[in-house]
Amino acid sequence: MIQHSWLIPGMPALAYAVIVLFTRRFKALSAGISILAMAACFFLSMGVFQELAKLDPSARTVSFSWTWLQIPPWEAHVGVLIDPLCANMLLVVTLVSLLVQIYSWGYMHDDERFSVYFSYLSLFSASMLLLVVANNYLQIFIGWELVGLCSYLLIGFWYFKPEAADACKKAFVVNRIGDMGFLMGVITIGMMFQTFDFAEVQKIVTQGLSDHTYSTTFIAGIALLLFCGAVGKSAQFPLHVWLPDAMEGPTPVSALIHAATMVAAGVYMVARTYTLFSADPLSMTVVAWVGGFTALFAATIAVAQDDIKRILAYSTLSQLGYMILSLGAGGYTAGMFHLTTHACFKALLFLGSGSVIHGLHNQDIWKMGGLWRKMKVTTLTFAVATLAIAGIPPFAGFFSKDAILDSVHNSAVPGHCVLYYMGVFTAFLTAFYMFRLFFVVFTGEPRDHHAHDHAHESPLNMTGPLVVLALLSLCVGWLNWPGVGLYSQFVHYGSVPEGAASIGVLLGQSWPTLLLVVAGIALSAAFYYWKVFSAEKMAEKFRPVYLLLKNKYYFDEMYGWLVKKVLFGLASIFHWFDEKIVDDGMVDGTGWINQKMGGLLSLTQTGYIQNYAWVIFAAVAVIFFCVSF
Amino acid sequence: MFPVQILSTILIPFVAAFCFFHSPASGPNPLPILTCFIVIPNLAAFLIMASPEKWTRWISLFTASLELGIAFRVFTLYQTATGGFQLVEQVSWLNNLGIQYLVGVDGMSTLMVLLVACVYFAGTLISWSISMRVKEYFVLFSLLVGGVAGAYTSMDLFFFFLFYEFAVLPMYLLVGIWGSGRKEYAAMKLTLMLLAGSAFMLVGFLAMYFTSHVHTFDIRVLGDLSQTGFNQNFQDFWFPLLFLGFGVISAVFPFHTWSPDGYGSAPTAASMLHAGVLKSLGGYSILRVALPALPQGARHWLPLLVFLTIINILYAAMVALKQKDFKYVIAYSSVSHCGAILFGICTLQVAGLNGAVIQTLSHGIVAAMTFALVGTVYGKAHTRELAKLGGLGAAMPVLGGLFVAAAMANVGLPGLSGFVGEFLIFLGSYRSGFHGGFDVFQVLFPTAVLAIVLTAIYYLRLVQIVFYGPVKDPHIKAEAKDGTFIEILPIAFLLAVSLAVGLYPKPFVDLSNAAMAPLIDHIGGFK
Repeated sequence: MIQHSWLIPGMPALAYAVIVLFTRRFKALSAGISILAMAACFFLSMGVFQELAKLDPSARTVSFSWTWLQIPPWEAHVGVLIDPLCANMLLVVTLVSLLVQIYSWGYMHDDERFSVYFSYLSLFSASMLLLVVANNYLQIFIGWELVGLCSYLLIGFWYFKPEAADACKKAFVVNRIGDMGFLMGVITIGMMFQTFDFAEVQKIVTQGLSDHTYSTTFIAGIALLLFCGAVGKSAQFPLHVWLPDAMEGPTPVSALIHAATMVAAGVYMVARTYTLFSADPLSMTVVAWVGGFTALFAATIAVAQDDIKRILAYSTLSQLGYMILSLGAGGYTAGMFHLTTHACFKALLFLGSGSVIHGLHNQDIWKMGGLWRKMKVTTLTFAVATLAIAGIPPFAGFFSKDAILDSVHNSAVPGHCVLYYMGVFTAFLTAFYMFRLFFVVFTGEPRDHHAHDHAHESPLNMTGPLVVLALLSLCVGWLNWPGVGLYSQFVHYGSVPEGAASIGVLLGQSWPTLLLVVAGIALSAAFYYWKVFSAEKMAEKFRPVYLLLKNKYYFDEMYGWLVKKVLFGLASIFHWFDEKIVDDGMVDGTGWINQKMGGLLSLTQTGYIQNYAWVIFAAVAVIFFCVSF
Repeated sequence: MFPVQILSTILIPFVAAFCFFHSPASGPNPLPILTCFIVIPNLAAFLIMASPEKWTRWISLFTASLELGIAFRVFTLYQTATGGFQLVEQVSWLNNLGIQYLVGVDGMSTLMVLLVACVYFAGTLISWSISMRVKEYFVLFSLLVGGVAGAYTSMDLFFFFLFYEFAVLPMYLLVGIWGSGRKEYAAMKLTLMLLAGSAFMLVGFLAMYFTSHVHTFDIRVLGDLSQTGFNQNFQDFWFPLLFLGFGVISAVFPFHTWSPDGYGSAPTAASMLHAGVLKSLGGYSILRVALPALPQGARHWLPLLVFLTIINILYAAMVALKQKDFKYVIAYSSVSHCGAILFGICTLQVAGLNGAVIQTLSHGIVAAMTFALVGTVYGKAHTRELAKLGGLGAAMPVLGGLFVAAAMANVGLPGLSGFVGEFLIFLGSYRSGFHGGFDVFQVLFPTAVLAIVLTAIYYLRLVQIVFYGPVKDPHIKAEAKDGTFIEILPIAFLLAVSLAVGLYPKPFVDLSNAAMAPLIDHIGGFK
């Protein structure tokens, strides 16, 4: 199986080409090809995983490559690297892609550009899988840029909506800012170490660090350049602004790209290049703090949002922050484990919200309410996902989040205590805003009766994936059951991390967090279910804080000002300079001078023989004068 | 029926030309392949003049397909392992003046031959809709191609110059007669500035000719003279002049303003051919003539001249942000990309030079594709003013999709040709800066990388304004239709070439490196 693993990105790429070139006019056929290719990918990934798991733990790295271009002695490759990290990611990406594609069949059924949509999804899967199987820095960058393109195309899928047109541009440009750093990092690696290969770079760096050829600060510098890319793609502060806007795309796209897979690519990349990051405390500290800050920062914003998808988007930011924090704090396994569980429950949350939007044709939570009467499956599965993200045992989120907090607690990063409490507080906020969403949307009385009357449960091809994901959101956490730790033994960096010895010990050490989470749920219920307190009055009382949160700390305004005033201002100056000074002044000026000179000289061409005779006489006189003295 | 005729007019000559020529290793070809490549477009010009007007387009398409077949044959015949000039054809001409008809290709010119043929082919198809003075148009167009085909294959400076001038003059008429807007002004400006550039070039050639005691225009010999024939003072004096002379052709700052005005006014195919092929001649000539002949001058001056090129890259990108005309944005983008080519040359590093060559190829293909798209959209919307365009994606889904692809190729997205060139240029500049090359690149490398953000901003802005959002002008909505077969075909063809380079660059980089690696050894560049 492993030797055929290049087919995993290959098949969706082929599906893309076939749909674009041949089957654009046949809706069902296009979708069928796309889904079939994805299903094949999923089974192939299962096969790869199985084969890898059978190997001896020390031999679980298989890599092969082809030359992509060469300027002797230097070469760049495309290749495949299968190891536990990659196999984990392959399963996540192919499974979520498959489920989202099946779901999309129902969700996008009435769209005119149904085939185009599926071709984009196939292209996305191909690019994402190319990134996942990459065995070198250049290839991961190539996949990285291509998923950026797909994200652009899919956010702007309804390009005639001005908001979507703005959002896709913003996403691409903001990502490019991060990629600038990433590209510089990749180039530095390629030119310093004369190779892009992960394994070889790891060898050279380890060697170079031990004999002091390279300083740890230098390696940290490279790692931080790479991290710029992760900050962009995983929407970490301060490049987080694109992700909430990306919600303009179709909801299944948000589930697949902007929740489960692409945005996690930044986390994956940091894990993939962990040798560079772990070389120096500086890079680890920066990573941990960026992640921890984003986790808290985004959670506070999520509390005050009204759009169902935007709440989920900020929650994604916050959870990605957790993963980054974990990696920075040295919790490699915990970070990747959270990526895996998060992919399940966050995809479920988005697909559930899609089901709601499909039924109501609305995204404002204050126009929903009491939906559990109409949409039983959606409500039930959404509840499972909400419990999972809040971190209630035995749902998946509990295990992974606890592992993260545990690793932060035991970390050596400066200020890890502060980071730990930030993480715990974020858990409290998460429970609060997620249950706020749940209570407002699914319980109570309908707020908009007209919409409510038309609401209906979604068809089977949409609820089917919901149920599968709900089961996963319940069970995936058990992969790392305390005392057994299958996941930790499979995916780890260096030695296998020690988790709690048994479930009792785990609950024993995590009860303060759990208590806070329950308090968050209770508070949320008090506000939005029992309505003991009034949320409006609270908002009125703390109006400045409420406005600050509701307006997302005014980051969009600030960046908007930077672009409009600073960038376009500079462009205006350059434009003026180009038009007036260079073109009108220098170029046309040269022409003007030539014309005038010609005009002046033409005065000498009078046509009168006498004038010419005078000139000849004068010239002869001057020559005579010069010669004789 | 129509597509069948078109496709057969393309495929039959293409396959025939491809199969007609064989490897020189298995005996001499019945006709000299490169001479055929130069002569066929010129011949076509006469044929078009002599035949009825209804045949014009078909003759032109037939010729372009022949050329494409020959170019692909040259591409497959060139042996990268052997390197050097191959397929050389030599005829003595003015022996006592040291002038000879000498054509041949090395790896770099093989790529350029391919580029010329691709753009010629696409340009011919795009010109299908020309309705005014069809015969004259295609005659001039073919002569133009004949000129550039000669320039890219000449190994003798005299003929190189001659062919270049042959190419500039038809361009003047094409812009002046078939152009739009301030076409007379634009045509005059373009021609005068290019001729001024070529004046520098001519004087430089003559200086080399007279200073070398061999009295030859053979570039191989002039390259060998660099060590013994031209002393430091000579090289220091002439290198910057030659660089700027060639630079004008590639629109180096501050001699770039002919480019936006010229392209803004030129008919679509003329912009394609000029941006795609003629403009690239500047960078090409620096690599072909200035560097091999005057390497010490290059080492002395390039760290300073590179500042002009970085201005090109970033400044033109900024100016592109503020343009109000669809085509002007593309024109400034072309200026910016040409800056990247020259920037790559200035690294004097092997990856940087290879990047410059690949970027030349890529910019040629991609700029031609973008201009073709702009022209086609203009033909349907009847305006290029950005303020009036909007929401065209709904009416033209295929053209819109192709434009996004073209924008991405310009932006340097991996998988398309732009990335390969840009990436190699960045590699070269890093290496030059941090590994014993020119120290200025320690600053210029990160500065140049800024371009990947700026380019994305102005291209995506353009996509958004023209194709996204609601339709602004109801007139456009009523009239605009998606591209027809004959309009889509050339654009799709160029996209396919760009994809081929982007997906599997090895054969192309091998070709360029077959020329660049020896050049770096010869001039003592950086590795």
